[in-house]
Parts: sequence; C-alpha cells; structure tokens
Amino acid sequence: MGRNGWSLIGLVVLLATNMVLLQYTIESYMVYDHASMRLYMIIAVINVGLIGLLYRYWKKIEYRTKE
Amino acid sequence: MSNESKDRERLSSLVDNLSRADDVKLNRRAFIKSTFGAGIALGLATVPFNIAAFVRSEPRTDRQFITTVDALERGKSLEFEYPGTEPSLLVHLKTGEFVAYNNKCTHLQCPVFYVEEEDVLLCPCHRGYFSVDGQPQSGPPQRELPKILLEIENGKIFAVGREIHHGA
Repeated sequence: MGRNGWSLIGLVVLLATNMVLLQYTIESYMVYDHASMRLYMIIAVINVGLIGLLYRYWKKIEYRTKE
Repeated sequence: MSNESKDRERLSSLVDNLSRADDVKLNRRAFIKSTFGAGIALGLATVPFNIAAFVRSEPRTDRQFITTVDALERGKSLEFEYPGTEPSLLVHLKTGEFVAYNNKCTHLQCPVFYVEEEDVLLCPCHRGYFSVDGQPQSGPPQRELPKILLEIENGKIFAVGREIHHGA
C-alpha cells in the first residue's frame, strides 16, 4: 500500500477515535463526570491537530505532480 | 423530430456536460476532504460540552430522607429523586444490604430497573446489565452507575451524597 493509502487509514482511525470520544464526553456530561470529560476533550483536540497534519500530508501526496 | 428522438436529446443534455472520469476523481477527493472535516468537527464538538459543564452548577447533595428500613422488603427497589430531581433507585438486596444508584443508564440515560430473580440492574433499552455494586457487566454501558451514599439512622434511610467513581 502506498503513502496515500496509509494516510487514509490514519484518517479513518482518527475519525473513529473522535467519534467514540464525543460519545464518551456526552455520557460523562450526563453524569457530571467532569474529570473524564476534560481528559476526553484533550485527547480529541490532540486528534484534531493530528488530522490537520495528516490533511497537509495527504494533500501533498494527492496533488503532487508526476515527474 | 419524433417524440422518441426528442426524449433522447433531452436525456443526453443532462449528462453532456459531465466527464465521467473527472466526476469520479472529484468526488473521491471531495469525499476524503469531507471526512477530514468530519473528524475535525467531531473532535471540536467535545469542547462545548466542557464549557457547558464548567458553567453549570452541580445539584446539591444535601442529606435527604428516602424511606424507612421496614417499608422496603428484601429483593425490592424504590425510585426516588436525588440529588435534586435526578432519578435514583434504592435497592434492598437479598443479603439485607441497601444500595442506591442514579437510575440512568450510563449509555443513553434510559431508566435502570432491579431484577430480583437475577440480582442485577437492567437497562431494557439496549439490554445493558449492571451488577448490584453498580459496575457494568454486559451490553453497551461502559461506565459504572453513580452511587448514592446512604446512611441508616433509627430505621430511617437517608441519602447523603453521590460518588461518580466508586470502584469495584
């Protein structure tokens, strides 16, 4: 598999992780578990940063000109 | 021009301006970009919940009378509200012990019921099982039920506080 494929697998993993983290955040919000909420938010925001980096990486591969 | 040829012309005009190869290429990229966007949106959606949690105040956990020891038979349960208007469940276990939890399933907030025959707490929405110590056993719930701290004084049961994490 090429670099493009790996970057898309990374994207799917990060997307799924953020989905689960949002679900956990809502569950924690309902039971006033603020400490867990903060932890989930920190991980989700780090993931957002990783997605941003991955997007730049993917764009570089996707739009590169063939030599 | 016959009706049939007119129809054919009309149909071809719908697709004439599209190059199928470009369409697939553009849609693939657009889809991937949307997926990146969705990932970012889902991650950032956790932030407003934290802000809301920071702003809101927790319900007061004052000492509150629930019922008397004699009023609840062994193997039976009683619903009450604590803290504030949050639904809770007091269970008189077969062993004679009293336990109480917020009776909102930690998955999607459905009410939880005590099943005497199996000695478990059951959320019927998605068949989530909790043991009588509040820990999730099977089904979708992943976290324990918040425990209501009890005090028994002169045959009267009082709720005196709540523990979100109370271990096994």
